[in-house]
Amino acid sequence: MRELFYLTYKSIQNRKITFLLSVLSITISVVLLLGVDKAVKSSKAHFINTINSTDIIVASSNGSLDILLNLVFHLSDPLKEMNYKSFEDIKNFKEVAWGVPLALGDSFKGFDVISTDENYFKYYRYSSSKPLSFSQGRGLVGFWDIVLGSKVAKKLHLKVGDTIHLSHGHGHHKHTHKNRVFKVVGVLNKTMTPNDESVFMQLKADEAIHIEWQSGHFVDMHISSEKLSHMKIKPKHISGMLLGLKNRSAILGVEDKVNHYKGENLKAVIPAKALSKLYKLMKNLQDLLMIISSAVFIAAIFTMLSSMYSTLNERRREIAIFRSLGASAKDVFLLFAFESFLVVFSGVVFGVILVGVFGLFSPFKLSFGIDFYQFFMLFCMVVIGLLSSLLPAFKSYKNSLADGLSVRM
Amino acid sequence: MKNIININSCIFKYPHAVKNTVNIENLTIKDGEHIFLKGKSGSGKSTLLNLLTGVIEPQSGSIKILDTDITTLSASQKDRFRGDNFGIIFQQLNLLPYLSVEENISLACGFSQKKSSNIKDIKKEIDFYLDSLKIPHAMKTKKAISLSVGEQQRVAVARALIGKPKIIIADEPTSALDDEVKDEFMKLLFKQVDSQGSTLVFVSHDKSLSKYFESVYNFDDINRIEA
Repeated sequence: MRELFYLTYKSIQNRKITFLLSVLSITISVVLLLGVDKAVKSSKAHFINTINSTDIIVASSNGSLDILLNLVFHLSDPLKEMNYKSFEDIKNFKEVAWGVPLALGDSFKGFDVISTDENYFKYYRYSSSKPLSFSQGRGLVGFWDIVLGSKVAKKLHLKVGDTIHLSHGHGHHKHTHKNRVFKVVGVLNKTMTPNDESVFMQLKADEAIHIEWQSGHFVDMHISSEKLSHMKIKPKHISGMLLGLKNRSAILGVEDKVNHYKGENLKAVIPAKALSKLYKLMKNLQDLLMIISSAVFIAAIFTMLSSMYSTLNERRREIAIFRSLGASAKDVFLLFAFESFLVVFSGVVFGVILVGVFGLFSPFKLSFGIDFYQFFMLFCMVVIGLLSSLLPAFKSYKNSLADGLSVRM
Repeated sequence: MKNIININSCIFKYPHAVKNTVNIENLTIKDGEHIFLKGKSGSGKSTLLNLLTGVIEPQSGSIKILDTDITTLSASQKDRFRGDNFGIIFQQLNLLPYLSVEENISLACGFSQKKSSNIKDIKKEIDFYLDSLKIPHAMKTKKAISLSVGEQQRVAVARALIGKPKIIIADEPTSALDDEVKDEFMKLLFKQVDSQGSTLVFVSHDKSLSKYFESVYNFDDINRIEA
């Protein structure tokens, strides 16, 4: 047996290039399969955790996906607005720990403006319950304060202390509120969530700058910014709200209460549930990726087999020598099977290491380890490689029986 | 002298072949004998060697080697028996091209416990055979593929002899060699086979080699195949 290992080693050394190429093709397929699987799992975890620790999202719309897309991802058409009074009511439900209002619709140089209050930065959680943190400055305090997402600050070269003007509406109907100057007071750290591409302002300031807007037209009422900030302005409408409960077990009760709210037609969305639903839309694409990766693996197995078959004939002589020295036909079989096992096994090991190393440098910080499913997948690859290698091994076994000690070359 | 090989009523036919390839009534070879089996290619010589070494099995008859009827052994017992008791030299390409001279020689002991137990110090043993077969020590670590054909055949002899197997089988070992090299090769082979008391079964079509042997058989006389 020891002799066989040694001979395999020597024989491989003799055919280094072919061997390495076979290993490489297996490695590539492992990197693809494992990489795709890891990326899919990590992006799923990331996606599902775009927002967490928020128990319920409330808006005045019927579609839970619409609400999620609009309030969390800042996509889709504007929602029907809900009354600010409803927000105050719901926030005061006895089960509710906190509530954050959200109003969307304005944009700043292509980035979404989110009107909210200081609690947004206190309660918003993403990834594994990570809070939003500031790379510079602080959250919303003053009336004309602005907080920028990391990407906004980077793209527009803005920093704490800079001043900006906001525009009203999207696209063609844009109008810049030139007379109102906002001040950047904070920049968020990168989160890989839609927050990175958002501009945050005080909800009351949003309401204030719209005082001079009446049925879509600007009417200059000559109110100074200073005076405006001291006016008792109460928002009338918002797009929706985020809710945190004192006790999560109350979630279904509150959902029901919101859905049957007397004041207006409201909808409660449980973000974790809605996110999973939304995620299903991407499932097909991921399945396709896995199918393609599997095909690459099958191709790699064929590469290995073809290289083994091509050496089969030139190795008949070698096998006759082994036989003459006392090797059995079984030994010959093992020699070939062992060699293919080495190809597949080292391919898998290199693949796992490569994926691990790539993972460390990827933006999602993929974990180095593999889960049970991935282990099972790799195990299957080794088994498939081993089973298919039995073909050339069996062929050489048959050859060795037919040739005996005399090979006619 | 004791019989070392005794073949009796041995018939072998390849599957799908019309005629028997081997049909030997009786062939007896004594311990320490050097016999020359002379015959054309295609006369069944190689088939006989495969039968003797237990690589193939006759349809009927017995093949007794060192008191063991090898036709009664299992496949793996035959393989072990071959590794332990035979040293085999082929016409050419005896060596594994990717192993060194040294490694090629010691390979014989790798497959046979009996051969390796007959040896105290494998390094010394290899040096001994290199010396007696006039192979420069500098070649020890060279890959087999870089040797001349004559050198390769001598290394093959060293591998066949190491571990002192009882029977040395040589299948046309000189057919790839020049005449001068051939003579030297035969002399070295005989000297070594004699010094360790092995039996030599030499198969060739080359009549000129008859002069080295005490017993010469015409293979067609032994192997009775109906025309």
